[in-house]
Amino acid sequence: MSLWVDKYRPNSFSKIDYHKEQGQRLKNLVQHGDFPHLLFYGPSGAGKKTRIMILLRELYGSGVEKLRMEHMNFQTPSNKKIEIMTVASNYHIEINASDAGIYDRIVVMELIKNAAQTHQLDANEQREFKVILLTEVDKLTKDAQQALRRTMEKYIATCRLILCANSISQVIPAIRSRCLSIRVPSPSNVEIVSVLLNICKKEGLTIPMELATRIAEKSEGNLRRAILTCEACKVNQYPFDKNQKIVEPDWQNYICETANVILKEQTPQNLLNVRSRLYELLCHGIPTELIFKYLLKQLLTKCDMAVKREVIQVASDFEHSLHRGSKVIFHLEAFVAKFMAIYLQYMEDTVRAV
Amino acid sequence: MFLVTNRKRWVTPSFDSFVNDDLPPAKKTTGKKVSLHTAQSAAPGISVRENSSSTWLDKYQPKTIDELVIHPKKVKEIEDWFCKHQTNQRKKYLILVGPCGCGKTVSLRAVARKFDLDVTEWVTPLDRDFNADLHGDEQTYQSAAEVFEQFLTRASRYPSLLSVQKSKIILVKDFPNIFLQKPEILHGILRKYSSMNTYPVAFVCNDDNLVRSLLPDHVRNECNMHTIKFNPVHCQAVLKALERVLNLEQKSNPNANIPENIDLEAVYQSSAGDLRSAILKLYFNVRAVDGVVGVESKVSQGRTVRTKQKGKRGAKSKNGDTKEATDKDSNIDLFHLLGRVLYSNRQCTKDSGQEYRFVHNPNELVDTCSCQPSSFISFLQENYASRFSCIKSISKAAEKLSFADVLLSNINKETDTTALSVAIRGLMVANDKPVKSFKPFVKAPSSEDVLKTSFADEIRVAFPNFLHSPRDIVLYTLPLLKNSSFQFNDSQTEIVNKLSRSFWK
Repeated sequence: MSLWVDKYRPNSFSKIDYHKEQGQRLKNLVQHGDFPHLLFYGPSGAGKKTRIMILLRELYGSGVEKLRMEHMNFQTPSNKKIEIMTVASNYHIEINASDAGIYDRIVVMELIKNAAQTHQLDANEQREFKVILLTEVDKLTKDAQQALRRTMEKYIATCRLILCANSISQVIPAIRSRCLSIRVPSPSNVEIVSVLLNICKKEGLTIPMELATRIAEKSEGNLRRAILTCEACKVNQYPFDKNQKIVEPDWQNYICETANVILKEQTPQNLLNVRSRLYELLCHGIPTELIFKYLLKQLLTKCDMAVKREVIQVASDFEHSLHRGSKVIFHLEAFVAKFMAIYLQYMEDTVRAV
Repeated sequence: MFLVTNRKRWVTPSFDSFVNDDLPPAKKTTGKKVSLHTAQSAAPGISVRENSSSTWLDKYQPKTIDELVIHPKKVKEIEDWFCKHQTNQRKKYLILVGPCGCGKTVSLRAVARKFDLDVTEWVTPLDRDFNADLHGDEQTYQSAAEVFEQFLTRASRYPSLLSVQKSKIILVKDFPNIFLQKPEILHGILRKYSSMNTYPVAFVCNDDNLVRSLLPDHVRNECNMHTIKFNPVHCQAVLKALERVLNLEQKSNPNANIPENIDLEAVYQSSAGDLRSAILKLYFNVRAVDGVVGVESKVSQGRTVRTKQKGKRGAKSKNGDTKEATDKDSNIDLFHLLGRVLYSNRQCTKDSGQEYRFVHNPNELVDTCSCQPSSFISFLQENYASRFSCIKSISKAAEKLSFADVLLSNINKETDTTALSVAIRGLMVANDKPVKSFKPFVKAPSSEDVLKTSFADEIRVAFPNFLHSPRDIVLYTLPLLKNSSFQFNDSQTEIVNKLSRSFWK
């Protein structure tokens, strides 16, 4: 059985629910049969991937939906073998090069070289180029991005790149300038609500407006999350109740608990405790920006106005250094330690003032 | 001193210990190696040892077991193995592991001499003439592994012409590079060799990890290998050995000016249990002082008494110049270094207590760090928090560590040392009241993202809708749906279980 997210994914530009004008422009772009390299960016759950797939479908027809999984093997100069899973149709290939970790440079170069060196079999019927879809470009190392910029110029005759990223700030300017950047903003709450209502109508369900609004608010502009939440609510309890409990992902609760642990006690021992919780989050694949975001959000609710500004500044400083550095735990922990120090200082000051 | 191959002959002669300098230069051994070996294992007839130009290492190498300063139990262990080998031919591999200069080879040779065995050493051919190998008509190229195998079989089949001993032992100190990359080849050769009725083989190596990767436990069990571990030579033994060398030098060369004031204790201190380096340093000291200080010849007994007194006085006694000149880069191991940074000691320079200096200079700590800056900083990060007594100092230290990590990630590696320096200084300065109690140091756990492993592919297979990346599934699809009565299929349930194991209590 397929999830609602998949079942009701729009498959043409005329069916998309929001950013309709942008959709029309994309349609016009590919109607001429050719387009420059594209860079889609925007928060997760905004519909980047949906738009990319519609774009490919416009280009090549429904053949792009016949997907298959393939393992590709690469070999580093030091003879280490890397295996990467790709998803491909006859016309395009999708890869998440950041899976290769520090070897992503080789993966990017080899993949594009391989794909670009072979021409399409039947160039008259099809387009004369293939499409390579690279996801999570912002997670690529700077090395790999540098390699990408050279390769994308070299092979523009035979292949087009579609890059997909959450944040453009991690993409080097050289790549940004070589691509047509398309920002896909996250849908507004009203748009999410209307999508939810639509889906429920098609499923033959009635959803109270209040519940739909609450789900939209909880999902923070992430349409995927909203639809999944809605489906989870339906499985849990139907008919819907407008005050029904809305499921939240457990990692989010875990981060909030961690914030409470930080607030409870500011000692070196407790810092170690927090560290092990952070490790837990990191090795379960929770992105650091989400950890920072929810941690800060929860910590701020318990902070006095006087220290809020300082805390936010510290958080942004450490997130910045996290992106420049490589070992994330250093920066997360530094933020926690710094927060503890600020908080403790503030508490001591208030006690003294009393 | 191995396989002296003359390409013009169709039979490859393999007369060990038969290396003479008049053979043509296209040898598989370097000239240096050759002379070294003749010196070390030569048959009785060749007397290179009396040559005054040879170093004290060769000149005064212990020949018999009694002369060894190694712990008697170790020597006994080797002897036991030799006895066992003679009764049971199956036991034919011996592994000697220990740090450099702790007397592994010397003891082996001494014991072999006691058992009347000849020692044949394998030397990886270095200067092979590849052009000749490729273009020569009669000989084709041989891989290092083949050459090694041939060496083993030949060395055991044909006894040396020059030697009077009936039996011998093969010594392997030098592993061809191919074995480091593909240990299986070595295992194959050893298995084959162990079934043959031949001489024993001793592997001597100073790197425990290397031995473990070359000869893993299952191979050792399979081939009946016996491992003997050596420790660095302890102080008294080193002093004894140095005494012995000095006495012998005195005897053999009564005219030599052997200065009186050599501080053997200092020599030992600077060599840290490495007997070879200690003797070399002694030699250097004797030569360095020679001529500078006018010395009267000393009776050997007098010297013994003197050093004993020094020994009692302890390591504090320093002979400024010699120590400076011979100080080996004292190699502090990782844990001492961590301790010096995390439990930094301070000395007040003024009575007010405001100004202080560190007992261990941070500069020197940075210099002596022998491991990779990045791994050392990881160690510091993992261990620093429990050594601080106050969260405010931790926050200062954590900030520095965070900055050090930024420096480490710089694409040109020049800033690595700076990063190390920032981390070490940051921690030492911030830690104004270190926790006194000792806690064991731990290694940073591997916090590898599950999505960076093959687990990501499992997710892709279990959720075959390609529009979701594994991260989306982990972040939203699974957490939202798993507590509801949503119907997952088997492989999906497995993923859910794997993810929630020991997590989200």
